[in-house]
Amino acid sequence: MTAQDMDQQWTVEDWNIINYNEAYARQKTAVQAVLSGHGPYLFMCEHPAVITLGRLADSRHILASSPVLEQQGIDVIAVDRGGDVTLHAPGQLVAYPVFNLKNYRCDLRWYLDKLEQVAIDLLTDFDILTCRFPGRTGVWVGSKKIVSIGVGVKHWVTFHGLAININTDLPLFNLIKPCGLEVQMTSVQQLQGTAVDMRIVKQLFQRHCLRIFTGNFSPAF
Amino acid sequence: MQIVLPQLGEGIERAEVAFWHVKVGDRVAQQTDLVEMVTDKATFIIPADCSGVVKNIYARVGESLLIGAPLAQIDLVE
Repeated sequence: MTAQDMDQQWTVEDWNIINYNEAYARQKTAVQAVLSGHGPYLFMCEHPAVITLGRLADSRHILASSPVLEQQGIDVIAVDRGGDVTLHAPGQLVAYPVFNLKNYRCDLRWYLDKLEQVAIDLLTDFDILTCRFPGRTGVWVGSKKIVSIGVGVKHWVTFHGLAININTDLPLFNLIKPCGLEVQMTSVQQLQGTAVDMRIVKQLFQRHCLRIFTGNFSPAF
Repeated sequence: MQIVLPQLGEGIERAEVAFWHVKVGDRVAQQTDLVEMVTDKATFIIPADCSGVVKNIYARVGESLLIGAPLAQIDLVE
């Protein structure tokens, strides 16, 4: 990474709670902007409950029937990210970094590893001891999963990203087999015994993300 | 010009064809999306390196390819 790359100004936006498809459309616009020379973006948001299927998803990993999902107003959307099935819902921090890996390192494994590290550092701020399992991208607390990752890369520009369960309504994950795995999900709220202020979480996430990808600390937005 | 599956990262030896954005006979401009590859947690869209016409497509959707494997042939257009 060159000094010039490290000095690139990141555009950070908090979309609050945003429909999944709207967030996807905004990401694609940002990807085109970065391909045209714009600096990096970091988008943070929460989504109304939605199930997404990555490119390697097996639809049998949706355990709930269509009528049940309809009754709960939960859409199922096939998306162009890696990975299997996942669920987003309010209380889950979703982050979408959009930047050109050519300015950093053209290495998908490196990028996934750095995303995990951002989440691990954030969770450490809440005194949560996490772990990784080789070959299973994501972040875990013991045998429970707390962070899911699935990315897209277009001409080395990143989109999609990661989802961290902060105050997520965990029983919603019973609707699916997360990432196609027999795994229980956990959240910061479950581990702390109390809900956490999402605004603080976003400030910390931004700080860790910019530090890890640029080497610089940045003031909270 | 032959388009091959590029290096995607350390330890990544292969990727699967997820989606073709073009078909044989299509005219493409430089940077047109050609094909989307997928690894376990990432999709990767490969662009055309040049302007031309897609002459051949060498891999089907769902096929797993080694890094360096040929993906497509593009005939350059003057």
